[in-house]
Amino acid sequence: MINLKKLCLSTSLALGLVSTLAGTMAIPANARAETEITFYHYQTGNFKALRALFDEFEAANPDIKVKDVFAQSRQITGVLQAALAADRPVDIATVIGKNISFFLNNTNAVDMVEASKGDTAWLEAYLPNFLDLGRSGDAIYAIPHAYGTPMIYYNKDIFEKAGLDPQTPPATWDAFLEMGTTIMDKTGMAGGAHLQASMGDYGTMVMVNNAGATYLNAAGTRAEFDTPDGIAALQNWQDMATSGMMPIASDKDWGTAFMAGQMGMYITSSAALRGFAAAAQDKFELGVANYPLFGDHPRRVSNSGAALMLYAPEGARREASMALLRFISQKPIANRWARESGYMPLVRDPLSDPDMKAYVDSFPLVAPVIAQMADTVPTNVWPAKGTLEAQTIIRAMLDELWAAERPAAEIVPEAVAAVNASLSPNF
Amino acid sequence: MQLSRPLQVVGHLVLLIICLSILAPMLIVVSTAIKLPNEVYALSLWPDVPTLQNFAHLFEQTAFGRYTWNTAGTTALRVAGQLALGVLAAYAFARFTFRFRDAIFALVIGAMMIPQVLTMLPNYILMAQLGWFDTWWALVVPNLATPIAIFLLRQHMMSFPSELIDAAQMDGAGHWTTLWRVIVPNLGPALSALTIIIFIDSWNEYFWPLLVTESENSRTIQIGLREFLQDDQDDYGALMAGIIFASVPAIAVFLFFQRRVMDTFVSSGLKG
Amino acid sequence: MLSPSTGATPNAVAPARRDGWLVSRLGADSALVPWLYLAPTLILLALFTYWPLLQTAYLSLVDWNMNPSQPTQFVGADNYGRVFGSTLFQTALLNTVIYIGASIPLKVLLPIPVAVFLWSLGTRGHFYRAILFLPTLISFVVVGVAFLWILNPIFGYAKQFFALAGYRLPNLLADPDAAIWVIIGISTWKVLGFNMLIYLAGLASINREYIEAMRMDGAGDLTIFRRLIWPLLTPTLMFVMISTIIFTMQQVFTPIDLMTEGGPSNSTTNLFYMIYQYSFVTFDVGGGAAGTMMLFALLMILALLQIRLFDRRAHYKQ
Repeated sequence: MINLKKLCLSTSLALGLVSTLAGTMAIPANARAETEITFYHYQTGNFKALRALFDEFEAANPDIKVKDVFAQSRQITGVLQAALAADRPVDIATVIGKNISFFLNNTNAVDMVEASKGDTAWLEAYLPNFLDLGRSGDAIYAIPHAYGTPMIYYNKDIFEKAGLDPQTPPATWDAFLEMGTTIMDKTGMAGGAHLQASMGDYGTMVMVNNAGATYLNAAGTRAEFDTPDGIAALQNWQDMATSGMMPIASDKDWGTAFMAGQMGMYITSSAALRGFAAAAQDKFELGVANYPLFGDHPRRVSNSGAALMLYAPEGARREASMALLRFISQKPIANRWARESGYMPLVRDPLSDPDMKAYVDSFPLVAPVIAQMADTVPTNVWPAKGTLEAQTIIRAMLDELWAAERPAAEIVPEAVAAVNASLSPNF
Repeated sequence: MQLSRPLQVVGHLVLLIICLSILAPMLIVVSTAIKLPNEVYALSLWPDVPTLQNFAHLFEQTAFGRYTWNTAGTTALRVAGQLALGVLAAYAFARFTFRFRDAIFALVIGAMMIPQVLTMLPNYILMAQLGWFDTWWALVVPNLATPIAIFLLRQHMMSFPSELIDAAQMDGAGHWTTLWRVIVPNLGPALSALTIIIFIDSWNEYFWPLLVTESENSRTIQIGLREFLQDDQDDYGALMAGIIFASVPAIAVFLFFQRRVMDTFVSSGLKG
Repeated sequence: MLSPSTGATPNAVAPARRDGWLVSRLGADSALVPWLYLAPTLILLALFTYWPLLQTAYLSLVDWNMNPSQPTQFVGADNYGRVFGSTLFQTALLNTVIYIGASIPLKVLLPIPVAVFLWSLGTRGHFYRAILFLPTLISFVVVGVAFLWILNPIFGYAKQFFALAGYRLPNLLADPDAAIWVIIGISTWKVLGFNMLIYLAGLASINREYIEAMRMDGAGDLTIFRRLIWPLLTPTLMFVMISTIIFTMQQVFTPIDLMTEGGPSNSTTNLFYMIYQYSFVTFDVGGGAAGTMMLFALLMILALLQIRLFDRRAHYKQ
């Protein structure tokens, strides 16, 4: 009974507000009754920044409540899958990039172009190459949200000790190998490393794509990196191991060593910038540079991180969810999210926003990240079956490469054939 | 019992080494909890600038007090419920002959071998249908049947002398009274051991709570802790502070009870 | 009965009559009674364990990813063939056997001498006990992080320590032959105190007068252990064995996930972790279900072996 009263009250209140809000947020009247939408996310350190977006949205739309549900990034896809299977309310979901294809094929995701009912201007705000990940024909099933891009982080103090110029980080893979070896020879410290598998096979994918090879075909059903370019890129990774500049270890080990000031260079996601800057404070001077080029190939770096997908059923929840998506896609809001979270900016020409400009001026380490936005290509997505086998084959391929008992030219084609055999049930 | 001298020396030596190997990682945990982010990765065990900010951070960033309450409450309910149901089932297996008894016993023990990862998704859907999602019910009820408790208690009840039971029943006591008045008071050691087992199991449970909880209504400490572990953004200081905060009650309980537990063990003993 | 002490009773009485009291006391109407005692447990197990098992068996035979609006297609043994044929499964199976095999000497047998020594110390052993039990109380996540720092191959504590001794510590977690032993070592570290406690409880039921008597007869420590302590400890050993195998299957998940993700070259993965990856990381529900059913089969075989062993012992007892 009380609920009914409340409902009536809020409806009448809401009716009174319609005229004032209609101009700003343009929410149809049928979304006026109190609507709760559920937003699945994996933000921890950035949770406050995310919640601040929701609070601001709620203040502007008093009849909509945004419920945030947290699941750790490693588990969020499983949690979402379970929630969807159990028919629990899921309106907006944070989906890890490489899993998008699974969600497209196995869940009832909503096309945001269709859900926009003709008013798709809000989607135009995003950098077009960032939208490609969620594009399927004319439909868009995912919008960028928590994107990262791989950067070179380097320790300027170690550069100096090794007699290298701290203002000239490596621009190419050849330079990376050479400088890493110099660091090892001159200082006895670890030279550098490139992230491998903390996000599955992400490291291999970036390295191969950037060298001009094709990691997976567009459908995600065939590995195609056994070409000369792909093999050369992976041979380079083997050379890093054999030269001794790259200690054979895991992402966590490398990250820890870098933050402890014990390693010259480390290539990992831009999302690590904040943590690295905090760890370096008063300990060593941190440098950030763009992902190294391979030969004369243009830079092509796959995004890491997650996108948002829409699951709200038609009706009030769909309208409310769309209102939220439109809200967070506005340039100043999206830029603020990028600043406060440390993720890549998502919208076109972010520096035309004075707040963003001021931020980059005050925190210049982030400038190379913004410069790298244009070089971002969508992360490769995997099909449903055989993915686990394929990813473990690729991981084992790295182990074999680093053990360096055979050259990449022998190891890589075998691995690619094995990956394709395990992906074959998808045909 | 008195061991011979050389064996005693060897024993103390080995135990000291084991204890050191246990305390070394613990030392790292404690020292990290009082480090600022720029010292977390440094090797020195005593930070240049010790801080308690990680503990403050813990409560600022998560509803850690609520998580602790949820963990403590559901753990207490689970210990009580699992022991009670275990006693009942064990009594049936130990003191009655009935049709299919052995087959059913095998089914109960077999359930011990069914890993939780198997039952997780179907159970999750069941929780959603029952409306138990994000409540203590979901954390407690699906865990109440405990094959290992039934197994252990049955062993104890079978070696319980029938004369005592006969005497009680001669005095007109029924099964119910016999069980709770005569048998259970003598199961102290086994029940203590099971309490520890169930307590630890419940206190450290991670996956199931992750799936069936979504707010501070029922989120537990273990989920709260992982909020500080995230690719590229690990906050080890807060994680270690959290584990200290979460473990202190458990360690206190253990230190307080271990003597008592041992004494009951000593007075009667646990037998498989 | 081998046990000289009647354990659970404060005032020990004459040897037990086996079933007499039951037969004489049971009326015709009491056939229902045991079922009443069992009902809560059986209902819960049926609902939360066996019904999901049947559902998983079904999922392993169809091509369906749990989307309610998607059709399910019966594929027979396809999922099984796919999983069974993969090198991942074969390695995981082999590793599972290694994990279990290694856990018997390390986690089941090693705590026995430790417990016996502590037992001989009597109340003076409280200090050791409290420390030995610490790992059991601490979450595995934190243990994993602490060990990652200790073992960091670039500058970790272990490396520094061995460098002092002039020895270059190899990167154990990157070595496919060594990594599994690191995980086994850490899980031993975690469970040692717990199993020791259970043994201590078992030892507590041994009457110390027997030992004094044996010692009067000139028996040494080893003889006492072999002739008296070991036989009396075997029931506890059975219990520790079962709980340790279950622990090894499931709990080792956290260090694998945190420290190696199953690598290098699948050398640390086990069936449990593989199933988790199928079901929750790559969302191959059919593959995960098929893997689960095969793990279940393996566990049932182990359980049957144990029951046989146990039965032999039980006969021996009578």
